[in-house]
Amino acid sequence: MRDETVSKNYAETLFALGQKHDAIAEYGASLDTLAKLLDEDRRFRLFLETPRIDDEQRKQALKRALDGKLPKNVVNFVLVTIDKRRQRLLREISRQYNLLLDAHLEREHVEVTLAREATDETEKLIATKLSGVLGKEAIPHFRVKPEIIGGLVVRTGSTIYDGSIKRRLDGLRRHLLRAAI
Amino acid sequence: MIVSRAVTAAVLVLAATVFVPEALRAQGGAAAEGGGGIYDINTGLSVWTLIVFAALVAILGKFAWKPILENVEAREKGIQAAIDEAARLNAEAAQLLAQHRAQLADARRQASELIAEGRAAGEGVRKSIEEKARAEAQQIVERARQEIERERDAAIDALRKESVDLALAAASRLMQQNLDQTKDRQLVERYLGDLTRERNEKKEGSRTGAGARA
Repeated sequence: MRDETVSKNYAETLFALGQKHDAIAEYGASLDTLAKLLDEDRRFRLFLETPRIDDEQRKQALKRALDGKLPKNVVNFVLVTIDKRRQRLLREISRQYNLLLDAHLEREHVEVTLAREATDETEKLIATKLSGVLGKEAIPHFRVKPEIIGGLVVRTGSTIYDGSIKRRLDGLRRHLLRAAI
Repeated sequence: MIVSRAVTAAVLVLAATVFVPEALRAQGGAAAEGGGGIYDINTGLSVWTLIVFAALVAILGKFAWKPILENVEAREKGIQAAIDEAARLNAEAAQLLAQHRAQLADARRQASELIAEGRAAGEGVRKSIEEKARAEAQQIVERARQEIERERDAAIDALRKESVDLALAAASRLMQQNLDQTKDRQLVERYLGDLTRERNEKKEGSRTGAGARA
């Protein structure tokens, strides 16, 4: 079975548990923390994935480290992944969980490109307006690209909304090149 | 044989001619002594002359006449044959001459025809070469014209592209310099407002369409 499918199955199980305990957002945040730790801390990743450490010892150590810091069900979920030797899929499971969470909460991640750093007020305004445009909560991820000169470019899934000055100048250029002398 | 007979006859005639007049002269001398003139008729001499003549004629007729005639006839025949041969050769030569003249005329006619044909063929080739050269020249001119047009269009395009790029580069630089945070935010707001309006219009349109269908 493909890793993505397996991860999706695990994510759906945890999501169902979260719904049952009305803690889907909390579980999602906990999984995000673990995924981020795996991304950033090489030693933690080695500890979790190396076959040199006995699974029981690994589980005991994790339990001691995470108890009280993460929800109990999430800790147990991680221990189960170790039992099933699927701990290397935790990052993909987190990604799949977030997709489920986004679909459940009707929110969409959008990539917003601006020509310069935006103020918090502008970012909030963009998020609100985009939510109106998309018809669901928009979670913007901002990045700065001075080449667009001004305006913004929004990418959501396979759709791109280009309201940049660069696009207008490109359009003007095409128009001028086509115009008869 | 004929020659020997003729020689014998001639010897006899000569002997008669030599000895008979001598005997006659001896007789005559005797008569002259008797007193005869220059215009006197000597009957004896005349008789003897006639006898000799007759003998001569007889001898000639017997021995020489026939061979001479045969000889003459043979010669005549030979001459006639030569004349006939000459006439035949002459006729043949005339015929050959006529043939040669006809052949010469034919050869001249053929030569004339060949020359005419050659001239016509040469004229055709000349015309063909001229046509081909003219067509090639036209093609070269046409190609050159097209090439010039292409080059001109390319130059115009390049110039236009460069001008537009320069103008837009200047415009974008000016915008980057003059577009501050506030103006940029206004741009963003305006674009998002346009998007919201479009979405609302689309929604309105689909609702109207659904109502009309209902």
